[in-house]
Amino acid sequence: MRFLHADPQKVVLIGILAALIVGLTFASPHFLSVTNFTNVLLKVAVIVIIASAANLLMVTGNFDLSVGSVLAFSGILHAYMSKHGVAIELSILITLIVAMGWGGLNALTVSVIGINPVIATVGTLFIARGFALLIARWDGGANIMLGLPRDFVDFGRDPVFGLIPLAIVVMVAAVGTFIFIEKKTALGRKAYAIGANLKSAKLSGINTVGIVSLLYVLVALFAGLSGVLQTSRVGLAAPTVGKGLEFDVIVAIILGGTSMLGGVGSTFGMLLGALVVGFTANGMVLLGIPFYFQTIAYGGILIGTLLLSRKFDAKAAA
Amino acid sequence: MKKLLTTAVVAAGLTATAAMADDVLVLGKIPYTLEHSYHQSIVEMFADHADKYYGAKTIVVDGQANSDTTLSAVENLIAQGVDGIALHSPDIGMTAAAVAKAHAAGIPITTTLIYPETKNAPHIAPQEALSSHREGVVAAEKWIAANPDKPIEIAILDFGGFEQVVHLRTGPFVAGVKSIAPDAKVVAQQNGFGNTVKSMEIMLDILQANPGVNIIFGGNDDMALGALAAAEQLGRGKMDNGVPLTEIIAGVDGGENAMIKIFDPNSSFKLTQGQVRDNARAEVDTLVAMARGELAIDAWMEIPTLSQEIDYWNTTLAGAQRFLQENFKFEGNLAELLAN
Repeated sequence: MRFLHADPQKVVLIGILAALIVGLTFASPHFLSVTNFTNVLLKVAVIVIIASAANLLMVTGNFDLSVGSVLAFSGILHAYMSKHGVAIELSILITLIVAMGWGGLNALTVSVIGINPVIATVGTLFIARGFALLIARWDGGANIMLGLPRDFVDFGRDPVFGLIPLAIVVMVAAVGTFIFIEKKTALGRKAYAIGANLKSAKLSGINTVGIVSLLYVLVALFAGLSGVLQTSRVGLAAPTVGKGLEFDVIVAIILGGTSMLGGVGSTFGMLLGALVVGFTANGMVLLGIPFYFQTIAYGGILIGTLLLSRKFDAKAAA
Repeated sequence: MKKLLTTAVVAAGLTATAAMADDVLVLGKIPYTLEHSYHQSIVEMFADHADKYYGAKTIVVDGQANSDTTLSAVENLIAQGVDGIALHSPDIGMTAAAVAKAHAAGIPITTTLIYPETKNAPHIAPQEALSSHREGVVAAEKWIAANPDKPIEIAILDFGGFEQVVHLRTGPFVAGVKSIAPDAKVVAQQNGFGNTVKSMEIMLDILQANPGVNIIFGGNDDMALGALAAAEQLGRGKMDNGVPLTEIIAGVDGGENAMIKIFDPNSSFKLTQGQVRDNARAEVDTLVAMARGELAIDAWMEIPTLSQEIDYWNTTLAGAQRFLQENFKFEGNLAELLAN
């Protein structure tokens, strides 16, 4: 009961998740299996990895709409370098550094210059996407697949210790890291302070520009890493992937209870939000529901969850 | 810098104006989206053919897979006073509006692949339905020959909203399979969004729900490649020197990424179809004929082009190499790539 009062949004999400799992277990004989749960986790891995960092950024009252393009750019850059003889490890390192550069650009425009995050990160979205398309054209095609070395694909497909796909390991690490940051570090506390009241945070000596900038760079780093993982797993780098990913990330974050105005939110809530979306999508395909209904269901779940949590919020406040 | 930019813009404008003033034919080409290799190739083929055979200039405006942008592109080309417009869009209503606008300005226009709502302009019609049917026939024959005791279960990845794809691709493919195996069932049909990553994610769920799926059709090669990636992740996607073990995957387009998988004897992606060159040539030839007054601009005419079916079992490697060279300006060597 205390938990319900403390965090009604999470209670709602856990309830929905439990209902989904129980319902789908009865509805589909193929739902309750290790393979299927692995599929769901792989499906949400990219969203969760990026949203881990993006959630804390949103806690500061900022957001990044360029993540899908940075993911696409990073995937195609990694593929281009790997194809043209750069060692996989070095290619990944360079890709992640360049990805952080996109975060640096967002930090500069939003945090330092003070441009609205929507405008600034949409600008990065277009530029990064354009460069992704250009790199593909430099390689001579619409995407890069031919000539990729064997270990390029192995990196994304070989399970860690022969058991768990790398994307899931990275997802767990990202969630763990950001739960630790938000609960136990000065960075986490300061992020909440900035989101709760920017002026007060500045007056109390918090380096608001530095912290928001650091979070933009971390979001881009995680988007870059996701690009590398996704490209390696699929075995093909396309400059058009990740379109709309920014909305998937924002939906997971908002479903998880993070306020777009900042100051409120948690990584665990975001994880629950992403899992609700992931299991819903998985369940609808398992049940053979046409995709038109699936898109309606996404919108319904988003609005329904937020309405339910508001109702609980009001009860808890009373 | 400003001066340089101004000079460049003025120079470009003068060149275009001079071309139009010199009675050089200027043709507009609006591909569906330049993000896709098929459309990148067709604009190149179109411009080459227009220049080589008619000395015509080509202005390419990307439709960006968006109806509003495509209609704006048509209006833009009309405003420039081009001598003809080749339009490719799956939006049948918008295409009808575009045709009406071009005709109102007295400008010839052609459509392609997806039939427009109104039939009042020449339509270049790749015969995809025939080849989709053939893909279905070959896939069913090969599956039954190798696995006579396993009934055929089909999974389809389509584009969701493009209703004519069912007449050109998915429907004929299923009919082809059923012509060999009347008991074959379509057990799953989902939107693959024309995209490899999305298709991989969705196919993982489809194969989870329907482990008996043994024939998969992707509405384009990108979706077929996504299906293959999903199958491989689940330990499937395999053939034994061309003998189906787990499933047979078919696609549409015939680009180099697909071809390298199709001719890999151990991959389960085995069939595709497509053509670029002949469609581009038909578009140019038809527009020029209308611009010269040899054809009426507002008369319905269907101009068929062959969409060549290609598969591992019936197409030679040399044939596939030639197809890629002719349609995608492929400069590599398929045999060498397969050896690596």
